[in-house]
Amino acid sequence: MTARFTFTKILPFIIIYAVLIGAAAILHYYMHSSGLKWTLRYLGIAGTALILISFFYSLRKRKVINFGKAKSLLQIHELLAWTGSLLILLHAGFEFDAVIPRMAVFAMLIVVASGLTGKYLLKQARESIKEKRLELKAKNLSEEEIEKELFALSLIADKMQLWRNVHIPLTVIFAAFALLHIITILLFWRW
Amino acid sequence: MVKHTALISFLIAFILGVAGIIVFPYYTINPGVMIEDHMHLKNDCLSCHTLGFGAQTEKCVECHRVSGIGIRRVSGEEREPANTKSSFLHQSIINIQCYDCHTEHNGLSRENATLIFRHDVLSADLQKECTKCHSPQKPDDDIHRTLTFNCSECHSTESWKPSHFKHELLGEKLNECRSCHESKQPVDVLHKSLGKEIQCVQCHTTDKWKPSTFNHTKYFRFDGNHPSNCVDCHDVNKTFETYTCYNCHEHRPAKIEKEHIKEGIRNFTNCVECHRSGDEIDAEGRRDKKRGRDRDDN
Repeated sequence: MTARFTFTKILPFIIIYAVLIGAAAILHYYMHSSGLKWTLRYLGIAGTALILISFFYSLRKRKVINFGKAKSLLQIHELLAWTGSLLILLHAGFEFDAVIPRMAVFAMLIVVASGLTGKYLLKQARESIKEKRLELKAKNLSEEEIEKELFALSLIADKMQLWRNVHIPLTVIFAAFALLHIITILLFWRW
Repeated sequence: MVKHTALISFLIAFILGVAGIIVFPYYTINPGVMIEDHMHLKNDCLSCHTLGFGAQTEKCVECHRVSGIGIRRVSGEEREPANTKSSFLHQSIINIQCYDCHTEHNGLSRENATLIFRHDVLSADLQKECTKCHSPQKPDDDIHRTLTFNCSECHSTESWKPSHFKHELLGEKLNECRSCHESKQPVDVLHKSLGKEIQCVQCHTTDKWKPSTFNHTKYFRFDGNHPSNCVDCHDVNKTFETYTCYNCHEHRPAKIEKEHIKEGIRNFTNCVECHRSGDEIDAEGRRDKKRGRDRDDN
């Protein structure tokens, strides 16, 4: 029962990930067969740009910038990062000859999976706190007592912190390999 | 804490990547398999690439001298036999840029290193002299055997077909349609009845067969009572050169004879000589011109 319940909760996130891979495969096949193969080269640039734009959320969260609502920017971060990843997957084209770009793509796919895990954890945390607060209010506990009880749930928040400790390093590993790929292309490609 | 982990992760990944690129460039950054003949250069990217500018022609021609292409190998050894076509082609290219036609990292085979050939790298004059390179490909059929002008008059450098044959290039032979189109001559009664002296261009154009320019009005003008239904007047199983107006109940021989005799017209066997249409007034005019020869009152 618990396993089924958990699977139902994570299913939407599995679908989002599967759609990313599936859409990239279908579009890649279509672009190869319709003579649009030459555009794939430029999709890497577009995908990278989208992912960079999505980092406005990170800047807002760390108060480097002050405009925009963090919640909205998080949604934009999720959308742009997913779309950018799709474009980069198309660009990579499932043909992994060189290690550096291959590592960049694999790191990106792990980061996307990590991002979806974070999205799941955040959703769980919000729901748990909301439910617990209602439950405690129904028991006519004082606000102080409610806060004390809710403190136990901060473990989930700790989980979010743990998740950040994984998600951010994974992101910078992706960034390192992507940067190396971009530098080598700038150095060796004839523009 | 996260910042430190992130920074260390970045540095480790970046340094490992750079080390990999320096030690194993072929495996870390090469975008595809190189052709077999270039494999000895696989870890020496800069033998072909100039940093920031890609693979420049200047580096290619250090080994592949344009004057020797097709004649000598890179090692200096003479090619036996020499590829004179390749030699001529490469020496004819204006402002030669290898990357216009060739690529690398596209597989082991040499063929993979040649992309589609662009004729516009040749001079305008040479582009018109197709047989300099394509002589063996000239078709040996009836049309092409006798032609002496350039292929480019009818064919493009993009593809052989479709061609745009310009009949005016045939000059004096323009009217000799049968010399090329004999097998396409229609076998219906109308066309079979035409003598050899009749040329297709008398009714058809070189642009298209239909509609033909045959002008029936010259003989008889159709109208509502006289529609363009061949079998009404012609025996389509025999010939179109003869006709009769007596297939119609309106034009019964006895009635026609009576009316013409009454008018004093004795020679009325060739109706369209006077009646170029169903219009009686039109016939009057023609009849007046012919007075004096056939009428009794002259």
